[in-house]
Amino acid sequence: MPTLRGRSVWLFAIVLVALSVSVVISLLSGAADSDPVIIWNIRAPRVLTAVLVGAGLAVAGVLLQGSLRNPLADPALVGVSAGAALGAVAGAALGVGYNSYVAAAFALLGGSLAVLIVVWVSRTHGRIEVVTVLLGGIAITAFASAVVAILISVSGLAGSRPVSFWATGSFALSNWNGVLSIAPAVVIGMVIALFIAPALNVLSLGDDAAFASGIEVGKTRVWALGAAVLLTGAGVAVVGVIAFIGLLVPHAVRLLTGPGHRSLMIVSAIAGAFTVVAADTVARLVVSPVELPVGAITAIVGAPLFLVIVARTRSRQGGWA
Amino acid sequence: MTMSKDTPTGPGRVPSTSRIPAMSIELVECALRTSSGRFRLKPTTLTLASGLVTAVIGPNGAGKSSLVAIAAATLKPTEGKVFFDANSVSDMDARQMAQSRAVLAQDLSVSFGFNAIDVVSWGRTPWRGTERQKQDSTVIEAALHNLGIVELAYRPMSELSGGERKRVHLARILAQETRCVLMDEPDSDLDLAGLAALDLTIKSMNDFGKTMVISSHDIQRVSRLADRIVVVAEQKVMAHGEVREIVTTEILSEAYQTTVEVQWGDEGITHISIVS
Repeated sequence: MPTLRGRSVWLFAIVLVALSVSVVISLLSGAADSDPVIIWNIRAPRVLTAVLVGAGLAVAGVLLQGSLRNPLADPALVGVSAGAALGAVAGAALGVGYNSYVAAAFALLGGSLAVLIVVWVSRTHGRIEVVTVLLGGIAITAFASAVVAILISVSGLAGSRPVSFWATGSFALSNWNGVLSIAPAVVIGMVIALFIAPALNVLSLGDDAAFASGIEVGKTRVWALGAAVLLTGAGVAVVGVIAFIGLLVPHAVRLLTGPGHRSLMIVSAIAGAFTVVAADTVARLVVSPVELPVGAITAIVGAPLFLVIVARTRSRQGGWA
Repeated sequence: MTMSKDTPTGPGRVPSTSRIPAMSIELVECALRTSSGRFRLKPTTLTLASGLVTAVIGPNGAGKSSLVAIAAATLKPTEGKVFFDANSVSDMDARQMAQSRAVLAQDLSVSFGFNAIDVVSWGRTPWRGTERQKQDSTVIEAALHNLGIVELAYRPMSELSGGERKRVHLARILAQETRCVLMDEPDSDLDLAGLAALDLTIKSMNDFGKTMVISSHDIQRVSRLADRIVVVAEQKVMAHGEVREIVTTEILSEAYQTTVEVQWGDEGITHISIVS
């Protein structure tokens, strides 16, 4: 009997080592290489933010894919990120302090609304349609981005340095308050995710067969979507929208661990953290002292890979199921 | 193929040779309407008898699938109530229902690259956290063995043929260890060997004491398998009773709105055809 479990442990160890190495490199490189004050006050919260956001996005992707039975789901593609961004900017326009718990709460509220709307429009006879979820995500993202742009203009935030970083997705604004505002949501989201992992496996049978096997389908989906919002939303308030992590990381990990949700989640969390820390380090260093927006880097790498996955999924299923 | 390996054993359990107490399903004034108010199933009162094999036949679109899904409690009727034995399903949660009945639906797709054995193991979901969980691996192994798919266990579902996939799902339903099994057109897209394996599985499940409900288009085949026949036509139950009383020229001709000729011999139906 092949033990996938044993293989997952090895993978977990390998990605953990990769993450540790990337964290150390990120902490020690940059201008004024090893000034302890800079490392502690600037680079450490930045790296920790990247770890939390990366792990959160990757596990949110697993949750969305599993609960919607859709291998193409990603927090940014289904509109959760844009909704959270709208919430965060609405909070800022109302004078909510940056990187605070209240800002995180606003973002979570926006993300929740977005996911409710997308699920509501894509339900037909109790099933959630793959294509409609993505189309709903496009609509929500377009709408929320437009409102974000308007709010930024009318609130006088436009042109400020933080907003221009945030709008493209960047870790430049991370600080210890930001880390504290993300951490609780991400930890709670992870606990929920691991708890519902076995039910997500059975949900691969489809709603009716999963229900007939004893799964409370509706409840499981609410928990999954709620956890995905927690894992994504709070991070968006601090770093803006970073796309494709939730899509690509679980996809790559699934090829190695297999589709079982528990090991998929655990390895994806670490791999997501590694990917985002590495991307941010590249963003910071590649044309130093100018800093590239990390959201742009993940999109440049992610979008072509997304197309490859679309083509592969399509040829395997012979269309959309 | 034998069922003996699937028999739960151990202290306090029924001995392997005795039948498990079966379950009856009762529909009381159950109806299903579309949102526009059209009936997909007209008000139906029906008892699917405990321990027997009931076959549901009838033309396409007559309401067979609706009837089976409502009886399985995977589809809520817009009117009426469903009872498993004396318990109303509206008082049961998903897990309690899943401990009572297993369902083989027509849609057998499985997302992501799960292996056959993963799918079979999901049959054990309703018993998680109970005493019976201890038997998980024994029951799963026996189910794989009974369906003859031991060597497929670690193959991804996406690589299996339609017939192999159906066997995996049958093994999943066997592993669920319920007192009642409902199948919606389990014989669609099976070749001869697949049909033989299916019929053997249905028979041995029933020998083991399970109540069986099976919808099908293959009247001749299910007439051999079933104790009772339910004829669904024009969104209602047109006839229900012993096989020989129901599978007749008169009743089938009315149900299918064409002349259907049925001849019975000692061994079962010898001839069934449409006269035009």
